[in-house]
Amino acid sequence: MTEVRGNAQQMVVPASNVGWVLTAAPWLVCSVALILWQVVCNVFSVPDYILPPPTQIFAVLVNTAGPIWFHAKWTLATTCIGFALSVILGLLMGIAVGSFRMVYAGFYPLLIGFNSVPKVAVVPILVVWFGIGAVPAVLTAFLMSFFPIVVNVATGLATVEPELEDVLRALGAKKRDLILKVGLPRSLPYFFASLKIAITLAFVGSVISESIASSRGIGTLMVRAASDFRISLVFAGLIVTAAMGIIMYVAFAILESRMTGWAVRRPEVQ
Amino acid sequence: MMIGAKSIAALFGCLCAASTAWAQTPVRLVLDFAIQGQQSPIVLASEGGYFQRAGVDVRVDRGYGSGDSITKVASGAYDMAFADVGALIIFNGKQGATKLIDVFQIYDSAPMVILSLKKSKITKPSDLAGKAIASPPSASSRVMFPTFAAVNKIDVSNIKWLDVTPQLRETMLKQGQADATTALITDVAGLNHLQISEDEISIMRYSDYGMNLYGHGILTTPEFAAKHPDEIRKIVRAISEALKAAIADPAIAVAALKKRDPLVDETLERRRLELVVANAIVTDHVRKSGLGAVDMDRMQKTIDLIAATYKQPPMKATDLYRGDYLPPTDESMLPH
Repeated sequence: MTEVRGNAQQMVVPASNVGWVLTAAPWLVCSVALILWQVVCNVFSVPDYILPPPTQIFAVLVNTAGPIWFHAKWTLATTCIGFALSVILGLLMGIAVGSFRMVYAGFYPLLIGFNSVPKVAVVPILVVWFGIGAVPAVLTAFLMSFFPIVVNVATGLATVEPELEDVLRALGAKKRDLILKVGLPRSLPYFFASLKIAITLAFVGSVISESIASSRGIGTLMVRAASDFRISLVFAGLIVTAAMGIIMYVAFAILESRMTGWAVRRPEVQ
Repeated sequence: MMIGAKSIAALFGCLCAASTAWAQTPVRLVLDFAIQGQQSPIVLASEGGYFQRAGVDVRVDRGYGSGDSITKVASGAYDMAFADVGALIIFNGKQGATKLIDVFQIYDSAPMVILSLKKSKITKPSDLAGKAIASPPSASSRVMFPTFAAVNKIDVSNIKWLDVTPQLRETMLKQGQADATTALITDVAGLNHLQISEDEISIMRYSDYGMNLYGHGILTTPEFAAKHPDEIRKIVRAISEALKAAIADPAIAVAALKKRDPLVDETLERRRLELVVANAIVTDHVRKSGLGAVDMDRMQKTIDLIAATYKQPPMKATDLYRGDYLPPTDESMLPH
C-alpha cells in the first residue's frame, strides 16, 4: 500500500490498482464522450445529415464493413509506404542537417518554406505529374510527415553537450564516431517522439490526397458518402481513420519504450 | 482601473440595444460551385444593384457542389441555394420529407453532359461500360449519373470512377488519364481553355438520351419561405431581371464577375455564360412562357424518374416546386 498525505486528507491508494486505472482511463473518457454525443443527438433531435448519433454510425460500420475495410486497407498501405519513406529520408536529412553547420544553414530555411506550403495545394500538381493512383497519396503522406522527423533528429544531434564533444574529441574520436556512437543514440528519444507525430500527419496527408483525386481510399469513401448525403458513412470513415492513427501511434509508443526505455527510467515514487 | 460589475452590465446593455437596432441580417445565398460564368447572373443581381433596388440584402457565397449547398441550406448555415433540383429530389427522398423547395426554376433543361475526346470513340451511353470516368462526386452530373445509366441501360459494373475535384477534371481528360468525364455543357469552355478545340470533343448530352430534366433553380426551406414570402418574391424578381439583362448582354454579367473577383478570365467566363444560356436557360419553352415557367407534368416526370432510380416514393411536384414567388408572366418574358 502506498500512502499519500495531502494537506488535510490522507489518501491510501493500492499500488497494484494504479496501473489498471491508467490503462482504462482513455476507454472511460471515450465511452463518456460517446454517451454524451448520443444524448445530445437524442435530446435535441439533431437531423442525421448534420450530426448522426453514435448508434447509427456503429450500425453503418457493421453493415458496410466490407467496403470500408477495402478502402481503409488502401489508405493504410499508402500511409505506411509514405511514412517509411519519410522515416528513412527524414533520418538521413536530419543527420545531415544536425551534424554539419553548412547543411543546416543551407537547407533549413528551404525546409521551413517547403513545409509551410499547404499540401492541399500541392496534391493537384502531383496528380497531374504522376496520375491518379497510389503515387500522389504516398507522396503527400511523405511530404507531410517528413519535416517533424528532420527537425527532431537534427535537434537531437545538434544539442549533444559541447563538453561531451570536447572530451570525445580530446580522446581522438572522429566526427563519424561522434555521430554514430554518441549523437544518434542520444537523439533516439527525440526521433521516436517525432515518429509519433509524423505517423498521424502521414494519415492526414494520404486522406487529403484521396479526397482531392483518387479512386480508392478512406478519403474517396468519405467524399462519395458526403455527395450521397450519407453523413453517417462519412463519420464512420472518420472514426476508422482515427482508429488506424491511434493503433499506429500505440505501435510506435511501444517501440519507443522498448528502444529508449533507458531515457525515461525514473526511481519509483515512494 | 478595475472593470466593475456596473460597467460590464452597461456594456452588455449597449450590445443588446445595438443588436436589436441592427438592420435585418442579410439573406445568405450559396451558389452551386465556384463563381464562374454560369453563376454570373446571380452575381450581377448582387453587384449590379438589383437586390439593392428590390430592397433586399443578399449575401452571395460560392459553393462546393449542388449536394453540399443543399445540405448547407437544410442545416441552416444558408437560407437559399442556387443548386440542381435533381440533387434536391434525391435529398428530399432520402430524408423522407420536403426539406427544401424550389422557388425559381432557372435551368429549364439540365445541361449535363458526358465529355470525351473524339479519339476515345465514346458516342453513345453504352460505350461508357468499362471506361475510366473522372468526376467530382458532388457534381450534379455525377449525382444524376445513376439515373442516366438506368434509363440507358449502361453496364456500370466495370466503370472505373476517378474521383477528382472539379479543377482536375479537364486536365485528366486532356492527359488521357480519364476516357470521359461527367460535366456541364459549360465545361466545354474549360476544355477550349486547355487548347482542346471543339472538333476534338465528343459531347453526349443527357437530354438527348431520355433525361429531359429540370436543372438548377433557387432553393430554400419551406420554413424560410413561410417566414419571409415578400423577401423571396423580391429576390426572385431581382434575379429574374438580372438574368434578362445577362441574356441580352453577357458583357454586363461578366463585368459584375470581374468586379467581384478581379482574377477572372473574361473570355472564358463569357463563353461559359453563353453556353449555359443557349443550352439550359433559353429553351423553346422559356421563349414561349417566360423565365422560370414550370410545366408541372414535366416536373412530376423528373421526380418520378429520379425516385425510381433510388427506389424512393416520388413526392408530389406541387410540394417540391412553389410557383407563387415568381414575378408576373409579362415581366418574365424574354424580349424577342
